[in-house]
Amino acid sequence: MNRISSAQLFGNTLGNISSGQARLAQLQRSIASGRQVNTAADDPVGAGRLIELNALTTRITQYNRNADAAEARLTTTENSLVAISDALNRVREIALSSVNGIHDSGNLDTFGQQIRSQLDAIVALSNQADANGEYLFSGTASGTLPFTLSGSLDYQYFGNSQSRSVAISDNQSVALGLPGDGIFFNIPTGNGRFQVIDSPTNTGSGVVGDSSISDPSLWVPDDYVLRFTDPENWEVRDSGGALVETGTYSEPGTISFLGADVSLIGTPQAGDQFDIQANRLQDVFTTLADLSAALSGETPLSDSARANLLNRSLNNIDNALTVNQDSRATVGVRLSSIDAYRDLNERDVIQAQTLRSRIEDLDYAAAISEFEYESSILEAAQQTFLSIQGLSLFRLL
Amino acid sequence: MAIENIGLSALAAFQRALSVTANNITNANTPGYSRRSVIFGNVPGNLSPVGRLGGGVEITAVRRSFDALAFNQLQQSTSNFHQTQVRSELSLLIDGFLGSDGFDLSTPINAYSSAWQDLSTDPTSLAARTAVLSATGSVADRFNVLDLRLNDVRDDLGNRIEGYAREINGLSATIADLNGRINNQQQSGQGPNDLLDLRNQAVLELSEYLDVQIIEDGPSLNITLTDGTAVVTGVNANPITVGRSSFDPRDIQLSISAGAGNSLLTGSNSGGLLGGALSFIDNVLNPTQNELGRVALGLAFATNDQHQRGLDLNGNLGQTLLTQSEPQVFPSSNNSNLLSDTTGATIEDVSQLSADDYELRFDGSNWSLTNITTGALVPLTPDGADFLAEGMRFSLDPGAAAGDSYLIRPTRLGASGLSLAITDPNQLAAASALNTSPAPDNLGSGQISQAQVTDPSNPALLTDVDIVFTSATTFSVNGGPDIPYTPGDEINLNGFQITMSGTPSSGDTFRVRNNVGSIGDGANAGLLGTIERLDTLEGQSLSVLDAYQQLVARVGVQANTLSTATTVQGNLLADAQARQSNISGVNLDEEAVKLQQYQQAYAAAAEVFSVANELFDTLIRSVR
Repeated sequence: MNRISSAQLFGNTLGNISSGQARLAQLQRSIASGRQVNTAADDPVGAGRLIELNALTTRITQYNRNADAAEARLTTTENSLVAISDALNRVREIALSSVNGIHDSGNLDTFGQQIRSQLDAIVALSNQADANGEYLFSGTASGTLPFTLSGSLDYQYFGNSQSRSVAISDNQSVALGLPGDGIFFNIPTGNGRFQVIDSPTNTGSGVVGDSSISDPSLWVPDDYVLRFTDPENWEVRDSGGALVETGTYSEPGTISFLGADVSLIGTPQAGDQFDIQANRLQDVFTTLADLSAALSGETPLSDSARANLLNRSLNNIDNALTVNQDSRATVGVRLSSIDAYRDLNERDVIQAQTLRSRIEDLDYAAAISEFEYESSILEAAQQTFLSIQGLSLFRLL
Repeated sequence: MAIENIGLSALAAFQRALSVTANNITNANTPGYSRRSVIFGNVPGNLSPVGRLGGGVEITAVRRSFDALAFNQLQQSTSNFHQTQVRSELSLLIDGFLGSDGFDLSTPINAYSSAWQDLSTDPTSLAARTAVLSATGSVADRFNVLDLRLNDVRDDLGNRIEGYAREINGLSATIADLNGRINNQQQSGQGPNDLLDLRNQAVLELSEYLDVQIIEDGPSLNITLTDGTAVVTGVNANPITVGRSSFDPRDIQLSISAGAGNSLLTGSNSGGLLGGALSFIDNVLNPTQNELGRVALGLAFATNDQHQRGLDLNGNLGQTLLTQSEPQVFPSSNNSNLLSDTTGATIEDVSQLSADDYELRFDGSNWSLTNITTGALVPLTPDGADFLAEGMRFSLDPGAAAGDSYLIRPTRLGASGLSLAITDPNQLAAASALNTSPAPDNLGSGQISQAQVTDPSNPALLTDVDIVFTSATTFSVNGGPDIPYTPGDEINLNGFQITMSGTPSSGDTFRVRNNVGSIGDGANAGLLGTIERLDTLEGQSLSVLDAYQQLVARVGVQANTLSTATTVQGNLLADAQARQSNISGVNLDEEAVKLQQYQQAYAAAAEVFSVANELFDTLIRSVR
């Protein structure tokens, strides 16, 4: 078939020109927006991937926001812990100087007052609230003042043992703070395994020094009573009243039973008792309040009872300092883990953005050269049309 | 035969030929016009001693250049192209807003998760709480707007389809009428070339709207649908009736009354613009709107489920945060118990929901459920008086009669029904309901997990629980009887679950307390911030965000495929048009040549007259 209808000739040209223009318009839209994918139909797989990458970017950026919030709060917590540790060290120095040397009651009273003011400072620090008015150390009951005095020497904790944790990556979260009960209450006593408390009715001058467990395999945690039947002889009974060990004592000596060693100085009298309590917990506020009261004479004590109390308190303050250091270490670990994850997150965001740009962004060089190519085709179509439409026999008739 | 007469016949014939050529030239751009060519024939002359001399020329026929095969191809390509093109255009329309910046769902969903995460870092902040409410509202808004857009498309399609039906009815009536007139003209012996062109043009126009088969029956053209349903038979046209579905009166339903009964027009038996629009509704619009609803329901369900397990700032358990719509149940208007019908459906398990529609039927003794999309029968699991299937609970009317049926659309309203149910920022349940802790003076190494709320409706959920180990291998709950301890076992108590591990000592205590007053707890908010990634759909294998992503990709693939198919169909149509046009169309140069040719022949014939005249003169002069 070698004939072509005239209408077809015009129709073809029109079709070619308009499809060329449509392609140019599409390219122009891409070049103007800088985007290769304008709707999902342009690249269905890429569009799905873009939604995923956008979600990922938003999520990771959010993790870093969480990390910032966590870091701010943990840094506040760390600063408070450092201030509290300083105050505790100060108390420790005061207590040590009151143990060493000879002091009259006036001196002791001054020491007691100094400890009291350090205690007030520690309580104030522990009841500190952050910028949002949330108490730092009341766990998640952050609207509740954590530590209050009930009675003259007895502090109570009104917070809870929970801490808020926030996500800093898909499967990693970090706790924002430390509940106060772990830092200030629930502190081990004595040597960490047991503490030795002299009976208030003691008449002798026995003062407990260091204690430890030398053979853990023999140790059975229980409450024991060390009783001097006479100044040279002692017995240890367990909580059921059963005799555990007997021995002799000469000053200074060590009482040993069930793998535990308790050193003693002074001369106990017959009937003097020492309670050996396993795994008791203390709160540092009450410990300091007791110490301050004993030194300032609010609680009248014999010299040996005061010496016992001072020794015990020093042990307990040391324990509180250890807990404080552990807590600061915990905070430090969390802070460094936040840093590490923030770096990882930022790297992930950059990677996601790179991937996104690869899918979404236009390759300008390719697009512009394609644009040039398409427009030259369009021009050619227009020019050939001009020459074709001039070729009519009627013009020559 | 006289020379004059021969010349005269030539003058008449070439004049006619010139007028046919002129008609061709003037109709060069008339759609459906088939060019005509003149067939000349020799007029047999009288017998002479030297044989028969010619008697001049006559026009034996004016032939219409037409090829039935080329026309059929053109007609098929026309309906195929229009069917693909309308689907492509509509898919691109949906694709255009589903994945576009202004309507994209993933942005507000991501912002929603971020707002919860922010609240988890700062649960007492009113600003953070308000931000969560507004982000939740934005998500609901975006679902509503998308659904509204889809409904706009649906409404627009309803109007279009009615318009198509009107056009089809007009064209089939025209064809039936032309059938009659062509028959009459042929009987009266006239060549009905113009009417044939008109009829072909009408068939071609009809093919834009409908995929039809043409059957020649003598002078008549009979038109049927691809499944054989008659549209035009001889002089009778069967009109398309635009009605409403017996289930959902908003659904348009097209039927054609042919022969014994009514045939429904569907995307599979119609084709053309009409079939394209119908199949777009069935294959793109309905699944898209259902899936969007399912995504919305998944988000609402997962959000509410988690929110109800937490505690708000007032110490109350969380309430519904996003309203969830229930499945639509449309009783057929033919049902026996329309006034007292109590049949209904509720969502039982979002993860089991599909984006398909269903038909529920009662045969007098048994109920059956059919997935309309797949055609598969779905088993109904009895549960008390109800039946469970596909994540739904059906409560069935005991008064149903045999033949009663219902259309079930589980998720169609999901997106439009999504709305924020809480306005008080303090009612956002950012805290988890319970906390667990070991007593500080425990001696053993036993540990207790966080408490997972399994049943927020348990009235004893928030009461204090103490778990005391009465020996290393037994424990007692709130002083109750001894329970043997197996490390790692899940322990279910007042609507919550915990796991204990390690080696507790006798006397060790573990506490479960409620978080009333724990306003600094943001654990539940943190969990709500991960809802978008939680596998809540498709048997708990698909997250809300993934489902949305799949939806966008699916519509994108459809739009992409259809636009490629439209290009292909467009090329096929152009080829068919070229073929048809090359046979039937007018070439002006060709006509110019013919014009010259007939003009010269006419002039030559006129010369015959002058020759005859001169012969006569010569004769007269010689006898004078």
